[in-house]
Amino acid sequence: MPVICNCYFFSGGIPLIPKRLNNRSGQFVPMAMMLMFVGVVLLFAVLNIYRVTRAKLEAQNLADAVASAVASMEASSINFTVDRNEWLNTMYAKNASGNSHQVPNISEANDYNMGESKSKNYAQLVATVNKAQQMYSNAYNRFLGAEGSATSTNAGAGGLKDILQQIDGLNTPDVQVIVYNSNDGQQAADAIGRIIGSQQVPGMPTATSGPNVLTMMQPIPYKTEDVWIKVDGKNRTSLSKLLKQPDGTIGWVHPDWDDPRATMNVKTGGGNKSQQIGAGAVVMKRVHMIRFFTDIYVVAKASAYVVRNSGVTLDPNKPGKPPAHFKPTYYIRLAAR
Amino acid sequence: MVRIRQSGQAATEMVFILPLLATLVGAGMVVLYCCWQGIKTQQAANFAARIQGQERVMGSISKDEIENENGVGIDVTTSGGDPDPTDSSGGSNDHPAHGSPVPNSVYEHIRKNVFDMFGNSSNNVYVPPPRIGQNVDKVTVVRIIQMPKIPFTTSPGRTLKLKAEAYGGEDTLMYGLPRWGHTSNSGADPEWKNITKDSANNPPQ
Repeated sequence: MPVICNCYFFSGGIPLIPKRLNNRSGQFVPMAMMLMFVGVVLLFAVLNIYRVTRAKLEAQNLADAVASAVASMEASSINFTVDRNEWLNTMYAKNASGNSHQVPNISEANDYNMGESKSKNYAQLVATVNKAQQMYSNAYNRFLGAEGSATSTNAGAGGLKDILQQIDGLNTPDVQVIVYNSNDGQQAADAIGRIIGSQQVPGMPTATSGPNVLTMMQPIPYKTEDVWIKVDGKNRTSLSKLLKQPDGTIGWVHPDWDDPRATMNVKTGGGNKSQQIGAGAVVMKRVHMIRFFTDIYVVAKASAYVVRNSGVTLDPNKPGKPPAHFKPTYYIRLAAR
Repeated sequence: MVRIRQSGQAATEMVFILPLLATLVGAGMVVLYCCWQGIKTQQAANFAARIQGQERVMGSISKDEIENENGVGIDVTTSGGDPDPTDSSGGSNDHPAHGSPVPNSVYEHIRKNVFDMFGNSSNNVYVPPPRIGQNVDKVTVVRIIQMPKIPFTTSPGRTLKLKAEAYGGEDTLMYGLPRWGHTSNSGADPEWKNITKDSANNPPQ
């Protein structure tokens, strides 16, 4: 290529543009180089955007899976407990002829008249079923890593970790999960998620094996309703008092949907927010960007709740009273965002 | 006076630079397409995992029936489902033959939905049988893209394998109990669907 610059812009032999401005050598190369540089930068940007977008999708799926898995265990716990109530409603066949030892169904026991000995035996029977309910409830709480459980391989945070370990996507140091089932836990998890999402914390705590799970679970709330009977047609007393136990110890058990310690404010299918028994998860995933770009973290949240009217534990027309039949048919749904 | 004509210099430079620019634009298009397909593959996997979570059964009259209902079992995994093209143990075949899952099974349902998402490209999409877990199942979707052949070279275009994994299979609508598939009395729908319908038609009072 010529290097001597002597190029006038001729028009009929008359120079129209001063020589200084008319030097066109290398005009295309710088422009093209700039274009190519911008193109390469754009390509890098596209690749990074792709990585972040895909990581967001992955994190959201992980959060949905974790929230659903934990909430469904809560539903299992509730169904198991409610089903034991129904046991106390089906001890005799329908229309079975009465005999002197027959005791009432738990839903029909209010003001039922029995002798003292039979009353105590009935109270003992209900207390035994209550004990089974309590034991299963405790077992589920331990699996879920709820407070009061010592951390070990199959209990406490370790138990929940075992459950979540089958989600392969969590078994990497780049992913951290916070699981909660209360408003307090939700606020704390949100705060941690915001910090990690915005400040790009360079290193996250890493587990030696399995998922990095931070558990903020509370025991599933249950309430035992007293059953009041008449002894020898005179004294009206509760089964708890009969066995000299504190009030609300022996009777039928139902989940306490209004306990603020272990319920969350979630948006249900109707779009309204309300207190529900459920579980939430915040998943933070580190995204490795391509060269020259700093790694960032994506944060995804999900909540799932036990649908309150999908089963029956309370008489809807008589607050505080048992239904004619308990329905252990609770299921879960992912909460709206 | 010696005059060196330089008109046409830019055109000469363009001859060299334009192919580079065209290559860059082409590479950009390919990268954009691959990124788009990668995101679509992940979306398909997430969607498939949701279906798997809603529909797979854990209860029936026999183990065979459960496997038949889910379309996933010991035999189905090896003979009926799509192979995983990213599985190196299966050889280096970039385009293995598709499988033929059990008709009307949950696995066939998720596979059909994933293929529908990809339309005409579904020939290059593989959905290996989901891995059934205790609480959570894993669904994998693999999209194969045949990269364009580089002009003036003899090497064939390489294949790009985009793999996406997602998790589902939770307890949704299972009442915390094993979800039952077909029984002798359930009719066309599996038993869990009948229970759901019954529940919807008879809401708690």
